[in-house]
Amino acid sequence: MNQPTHRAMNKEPDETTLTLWIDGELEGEELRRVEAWAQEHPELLAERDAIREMNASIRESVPANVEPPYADFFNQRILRQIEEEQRMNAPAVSRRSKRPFWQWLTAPAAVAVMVLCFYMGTRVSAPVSTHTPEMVAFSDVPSVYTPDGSVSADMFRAEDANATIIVLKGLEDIPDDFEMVGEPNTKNSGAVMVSTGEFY
Amino acid sequence: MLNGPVSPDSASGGGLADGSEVPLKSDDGTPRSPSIDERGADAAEDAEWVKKAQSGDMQAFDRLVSKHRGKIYAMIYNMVKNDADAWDLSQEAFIKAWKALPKFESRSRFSTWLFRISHNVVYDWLRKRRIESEGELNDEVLDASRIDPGAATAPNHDARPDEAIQQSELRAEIKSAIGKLSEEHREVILLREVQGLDYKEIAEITENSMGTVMSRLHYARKKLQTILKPET
Repeated sequence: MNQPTHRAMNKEPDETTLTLWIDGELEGEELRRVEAWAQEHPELLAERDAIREMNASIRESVPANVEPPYADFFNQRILRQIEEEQRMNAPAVSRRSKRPFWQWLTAPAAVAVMVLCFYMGTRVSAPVSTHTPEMVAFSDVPSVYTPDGSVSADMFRAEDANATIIVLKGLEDIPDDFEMVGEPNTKNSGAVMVSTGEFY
Repeated sequence: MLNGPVSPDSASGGGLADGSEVPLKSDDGTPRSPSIDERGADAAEDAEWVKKAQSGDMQAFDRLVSKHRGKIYAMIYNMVKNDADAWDLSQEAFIKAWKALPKFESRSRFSTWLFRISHNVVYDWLRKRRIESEGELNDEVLDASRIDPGAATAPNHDARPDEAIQQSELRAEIKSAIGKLSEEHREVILLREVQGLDYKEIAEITENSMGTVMSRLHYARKKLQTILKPET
């Protein structure tokens, strides 16, 4: 490898040269000069050995290769994110242009099927009856039903009051202590009713 | 992020079934860097998968992720010292790698290129974090070695066998010492001593000259020695 220039060996080698020397990457004349300097400065040799020992400890203590937790999921998540980004970044025009040609026929085909179904529906529906519908007359007189057989009900229409009156016969007398709650409601129709909101 | 990720301290290396790398060891069992031949074969295999991935083969990219995730995660973890952040940042690095893959011209090794992307991701994160945490409590002050073991809120560690204590103490000391280095010094030490990269690769990753890398390495080692020196 290319070695950087450094000062002559009458001075201490610079940090670049020392790094190369400690790492065993110096060769030839350069190496001999540094070794000669180190012989005269034993503290340099001691430092080299200490650093080499420290480097070995680092290699032993710090793993270079550690599987990330949930390694399978690690890969899956990367791939999924890439796919999502690709989908999002794909321009709309190019996405459309990549559609197979038959996809263009989907919409017209769906309309044609709907029209056909409608037409078939009109053909296979129940035949139109020629029978004249009967006119059903609904009585506008309401009937009154009393579940208790002992009670009968008669209903009258009071046109003047614009009200319908129901007369119940056979009911037991209402006791005097029976408390009626609420105000008579005479709104709208004029019929007299009792609000039973709190009656029960 | 997931709950309860495994700390890299307790994690073991991955198997080969999914393409992940097994850490290399020398005959005496100590970790070692790959030889030049191994690197060559490795790079050739990467180049093949890179080519496929560049043509849109997601499976090939998946293989590349499986193979390199261990190194990238370990490197990022040692820089940010937090497994959840390391997990997220490793993800980010691989996604950025995928996006930049069409521009990758194989002038450098794929792993070197990945380290360079990781370097940028980590430094962006550190910059952002520094801005956000201005005026807040500095987490770096709270390193484990300064916590009183008798404190009621001290982290609880399992008891270890006696013979392992010394070794584990040394490991903890070294990790703690690396953690105390500046980001630039820490990175150069990790790339050189842990990942076993040469100066040229480190220069490429950190976007510095080789002279700067060697000089930085020199001072980082000096600083580490000072930190690790027993107190008298």
